Amino acid sequence: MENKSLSIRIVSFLATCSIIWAMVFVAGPMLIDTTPAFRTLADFVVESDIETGEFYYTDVEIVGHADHNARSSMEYLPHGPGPE
Amino acid sequence: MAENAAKQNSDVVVDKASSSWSDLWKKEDYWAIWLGFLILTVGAIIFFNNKPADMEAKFAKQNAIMTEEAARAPFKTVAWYEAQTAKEKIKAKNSPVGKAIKGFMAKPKKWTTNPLDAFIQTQAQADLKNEAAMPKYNKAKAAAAAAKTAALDAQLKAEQAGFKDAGLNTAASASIESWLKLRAKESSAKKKIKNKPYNLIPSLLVLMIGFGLFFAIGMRFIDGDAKTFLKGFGLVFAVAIASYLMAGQATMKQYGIGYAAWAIAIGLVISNTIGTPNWAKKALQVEFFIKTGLVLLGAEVLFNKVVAIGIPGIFVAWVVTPVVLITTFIFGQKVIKMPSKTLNMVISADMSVCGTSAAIAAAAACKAKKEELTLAIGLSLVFTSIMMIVMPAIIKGTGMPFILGGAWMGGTIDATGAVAAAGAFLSEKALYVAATIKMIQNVLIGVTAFGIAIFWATKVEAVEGQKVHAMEIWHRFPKFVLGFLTASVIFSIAYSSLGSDAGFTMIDQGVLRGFSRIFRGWFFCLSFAAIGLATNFRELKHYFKGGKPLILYVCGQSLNLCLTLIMAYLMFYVVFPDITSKI
Repeated sequence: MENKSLSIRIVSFLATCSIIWAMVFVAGPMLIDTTPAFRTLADFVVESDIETGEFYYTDVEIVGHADHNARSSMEYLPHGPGPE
Repeated sequence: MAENAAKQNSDVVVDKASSSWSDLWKKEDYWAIWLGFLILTVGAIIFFNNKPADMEAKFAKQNAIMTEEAARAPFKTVAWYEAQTAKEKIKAKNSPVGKAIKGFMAKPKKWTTNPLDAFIQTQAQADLKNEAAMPKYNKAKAAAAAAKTAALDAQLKAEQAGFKDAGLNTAASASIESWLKLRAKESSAKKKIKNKPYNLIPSLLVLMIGFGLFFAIGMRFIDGDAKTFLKGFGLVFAVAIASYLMAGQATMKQYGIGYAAWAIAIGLVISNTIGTPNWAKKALQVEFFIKTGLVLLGAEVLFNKVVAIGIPGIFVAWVVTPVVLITTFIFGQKVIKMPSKTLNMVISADMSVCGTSAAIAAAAACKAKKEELTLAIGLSLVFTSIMMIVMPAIIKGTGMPFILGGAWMGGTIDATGAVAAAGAFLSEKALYVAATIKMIQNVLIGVTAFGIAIFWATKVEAVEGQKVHAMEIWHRFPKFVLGFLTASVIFSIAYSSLGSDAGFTMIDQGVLRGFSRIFRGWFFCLSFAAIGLATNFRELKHYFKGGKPLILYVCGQSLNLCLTLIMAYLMFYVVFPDITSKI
C-alpha cells in the first residue's frame, strides 16, 4: 500500500469510509426495516438499552441482575404449600 | 548405523526455551501482571473504603422477607421479587467515588445521526430529551402499576385457596411474570428521562495521556524506547475512540456490532488505505495491551458463579462446552485439515466457549497470530448477529418453553450482550436462564486458557521425540496466564468469603464493574485497534483460503446447537424439573 501515491491512498481511504457510511446509515437500517423479525428485535434493543455489542458478562448490566436473581432463586427456592 | 543415528540427531533442531530473573522486569508477560495487579489493588482499596452504608442490615432485612415468602408460597411472590430488587440496588459502584470514576472514564455515548452527540451534550439538549421521553415513561409507569395490582390480585386468589389450586398458582405466576416484564420496561423508560449534560473531550484527553504513560512505564523496561511508543500511542487511542463511537451508533447497537469489531475494522481501513505511519508502529503493542487486559479479566472469572443456577447450569455450560471445544479442534485437525493449529484452536474456543473473550484468551495462550484472532472475531461477530435474531424467532415459532430456549441461546450465542438481548426479548425468566448460562460459560475461559497454554507448551511446541521436562514447560508457559489465574483465585475467594449478597455489592458491582472492567475494556479496545493497524488484508486473505475457517465454525456451531439443546432439555425438563418450575 505504501508503494502507491498519497493521492491514491487518500482516495481509497475516502472510498472505504463512504462504503462504511452507506452500510451504517443506508443498508443497515434498510435491512432492519425490511425484515419484520429483525425490526421487532431492533425495537426491543432500543427500548431496553441492552449492551448488545459487549462480549463478557461483567460488561452487560442486566446479566448481573440475572445472576443475582438466579442465585437468590437457589438460596430462597419457593417451597410453600402446593397442590397435593 | 550409529553414524546415521548421530547424523539424524544433528539434523534435529533442539528447541530450548529459557528464563531468567530479569524476565520479571523485561518481559511484557510480567509487566502485564504488575500493571494488572496495580489496577486491581487500587480498585480494591477505593471500593472497600467506600462500602454502602448499613449494607449488612439491609441485606438481612430483605433476606428475612425472601425466606418468609419462599416458605409461604410455591412460587416467587411479588414481595419476593421486590426484596430481590431492593438487594440488587445496593451497589458499591453507586457510591459518590464510584460515580466519579464512571464519569471520568466514560467512553463515547450513544448517538443516532450526529457523532458529536457522543461527546458533548448541553443542558438544553438533555432537557429536550427528557421532555420527549416523559410521556413514554408515564405510560410505562402506569402500565407497570396496573400489572402489579393484577399480579397482587392473582396472588391473593391463589393464597385464598391455600396455594392448593394448581390453576390459580399458574395464573398468579403468569401475572407476576407480566408485571416483571412491564417493570423492566418502566425501568428502561426511566433511564431515558434522566439525561444529563456532559463533555467527554477533556476526560478523554486525560485518559489518552494517562494510558500512554501507564504503558510507557512497561515499555521503558521491555524495549527501552518509551518515547517512540508515546508518539504513536495517540493514533492507537484515536482509533479506539472511533471504535467506541461507532459501537454506540444506534443501528450498530441493534446489530450487536461492538467496539472490538469496529476497532479492528477501522484499524484495517487505515493500514490498508493510507497506511499506518512508521512513527506509530512502535505503539502497536498488541500483546502488551491484550495481556494486561487479560490479567484484569482474570479477576472477573469468579468460580463461585458456576453454581448460580444449580446443577442444570453446570451441565449445560461445563459439559457441553469442553466436549464441543475438543471435538471441533480434532475435527479441524483431522477432517478439515486446518493449515494452522493456532487458528483452529482460536476458532474452536471462540465458537464453543464465549466468543471474543475466549478468542482473546485462547489466542494469547497458544500464541496465535493477530490475523488469526481477527478472523475468529469476525466469524463470531457475523454468527452472533444472525443467531441473536434467528434463535428467538425459532423458539417462539416452535413454541419451545422459554426456559429451555434461554438455556439453548445462553449456551450457543457467542457474545453475552447478544444473549441478554435475545433472552430478554423472550421473557424475564428466559433472560435469567440465558444470561446465567452464558456467565457460567464465561467463567470457563480461565480453565480453557490454562489448558490451552499447558497443551501448547507440552505437546504442540515440543519437538517430536524430544522429552519435555517440567522446567521446559515453565520456560514455554505464557506467564501472564499465571497472573490471570491468580487474579481469578483471589477474587473468587474474596467473593465467597463475603457471601453472595456482599460479594455481589462489593466485588461484582464494585471493584470489577465499577473499576477494573472499565480499564479492561479500554485495554482490549487498544489491542484491537493495534491489531487492525498492524494487519495487511493480503495476510488475512491467505488464512481464509478454501473457506476452511468458515466450515470449521459452521460445523462446530451445528454440533454445539444440537448438544446444548439436548443437554438443556435433559437437565431442565427431565432430571431437574423441580428447579425449572421454580426459576
